[in-house]
Amino acid sequence: MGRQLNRQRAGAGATVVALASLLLTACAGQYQAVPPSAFPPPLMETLPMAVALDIAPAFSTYTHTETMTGTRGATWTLPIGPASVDWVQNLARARFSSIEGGRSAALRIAPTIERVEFSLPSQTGSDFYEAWIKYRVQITNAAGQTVADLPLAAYGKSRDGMMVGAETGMGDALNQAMRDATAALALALQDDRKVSDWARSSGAVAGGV
Amino acid sequence: MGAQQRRGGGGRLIMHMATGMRAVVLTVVLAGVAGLGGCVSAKVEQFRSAPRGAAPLVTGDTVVILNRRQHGDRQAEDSFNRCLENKLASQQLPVTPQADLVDALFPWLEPRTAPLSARALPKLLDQPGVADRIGAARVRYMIWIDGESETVDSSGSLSCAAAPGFAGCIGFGMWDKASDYEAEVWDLQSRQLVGKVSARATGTTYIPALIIPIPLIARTEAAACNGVAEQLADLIRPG
Repeated sequence: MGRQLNRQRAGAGATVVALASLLLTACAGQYQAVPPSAFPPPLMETLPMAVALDIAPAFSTYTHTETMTGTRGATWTLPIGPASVDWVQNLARARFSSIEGGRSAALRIAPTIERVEFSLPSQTGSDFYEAWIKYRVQITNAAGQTVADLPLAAYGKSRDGMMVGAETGMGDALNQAMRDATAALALALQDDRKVSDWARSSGAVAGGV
Repeated sequence: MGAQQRRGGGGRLIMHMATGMRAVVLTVVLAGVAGLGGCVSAKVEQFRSAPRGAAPLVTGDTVVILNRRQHGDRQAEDSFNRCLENKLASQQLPVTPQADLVDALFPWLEPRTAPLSARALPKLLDQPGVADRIGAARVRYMIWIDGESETVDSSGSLSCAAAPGFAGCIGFGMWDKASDYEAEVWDLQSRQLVGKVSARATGTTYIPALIIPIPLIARTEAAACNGVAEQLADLIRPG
C-alpha cells in the first residue's frame, strides 16, 4: 500500500516536472522583430551632387540577437540591416541628385551600426517597447579623405497595448529609431554650404550629431 | 452624484483675466460615465493668449493634433488623439490626421526636430517645402498634446476559479486612475501661440465580484478628452 502510494507520488511528481518543463519551454520563446522598411520621402532640397553609398554587407545584413536574462530566457532576433539600408538610401535620394556616383562621386557615404539595445515593458515597468541604435556615418570626399565622421544615437519607442504583439511593438520601436536616425542625419546634411565644402575639403573631419 | 464646482487654492474659483489673456477653470464631476461607471472628477483650464476672434478658422482650414513624443517615460495615447479628432470633427472643425502631416513633413516633426514652442515655429516653417506642404493640407492650427493616463494606486483582492460545471470570482478590487493632458494651440498663419488647455481627470474604478465581477470603470481619459475638446473648440471655432 505504502509502495503504491510512493509510486503514485513519484508519478505525480514526474507529471508536475514535465508540465513545468513544458511551460518553461513555452515561455522561453523565440521572438523576431522585423522593423518595417516603410519611410516617407524626406522633405529636403535636392543638392545637384552625385554621391555614392558604401553599403557594406555587415551593415545590410546586420542582425542583433540577444537572450534576455529577466524574461525566462527569451531570445530576441532583430534583423536591422535591411531597413537601415532603406532609410539611408531614402534620405540620400532626397538630398542628392544621384546616389550612384560610382568612382566620380563627390562624396562617399558609409554607414555602420555600432550598437543596438532594447527594452521591454516587462523589464522597465513602463508602457513602452524601446530601442536604441547607434549608427556611425563616415563621409569621404573624392580624394578619399574623411570629411565627416558622424555618430548618430537614435531612439524609438512604441506603446504596449492589449492588441499589440511583442514582436510588432518592438518592430515599431525600431522603425521609430530609424526615423530618428533619418532626422539626425538630415540635420547633419541640411547645410548646403557645409556639404559643398566637404566635397571640396582637404580632409578636415566634422563630427557629432 | 450631481455636477459640482471644485474651488481652487483659497476657496476661490480660479478666474484670471490680464492683458488679452483669459483663464477659465471648469470643474465637472461626472458620474455614471457610459452606464455603469466609476466616479470621475475632471478639472479643465483654458488660457487664451490672443484676443477672441483675432485668429478665426475660415472655411476649408483644418487643424492637426500632434502627440508630443520627446519624453522617454510618457506620451499621449493614440486613443486620446483619436478621441480629440472625433470630438473636433463632430463640432464642424475639420481635422488633418496626425500621421498624414508627420509623414508629409518627414523628418521635421520627429521628436528630435519638432519645434518645442511656438517661438521655434518660424524655423520649422522656413524649412524648404514645409510651408507649401502645410498650405496644401490647409492646416491652420497645430495642436500639441502632452501627457497621459496612468494608474496611480490600486488595492483589494479578487480571485477567480474555474472547475467543470462552475466558474466564478469573489472579492473586491479597486484602482485610482489619473489623466493629465495639456494642449498648446499654435496659429501657423500668425506663427504664434493662440492658447493652452489643460485637463486633469481622476477617478476610481471598482470591481466587486460575487460569482460575476461587475466592473464600475472610471473613464478618466474620456472625461479629459471631452473637457479638452470643448475648450479647444472654443479657442479655434470660426469667428
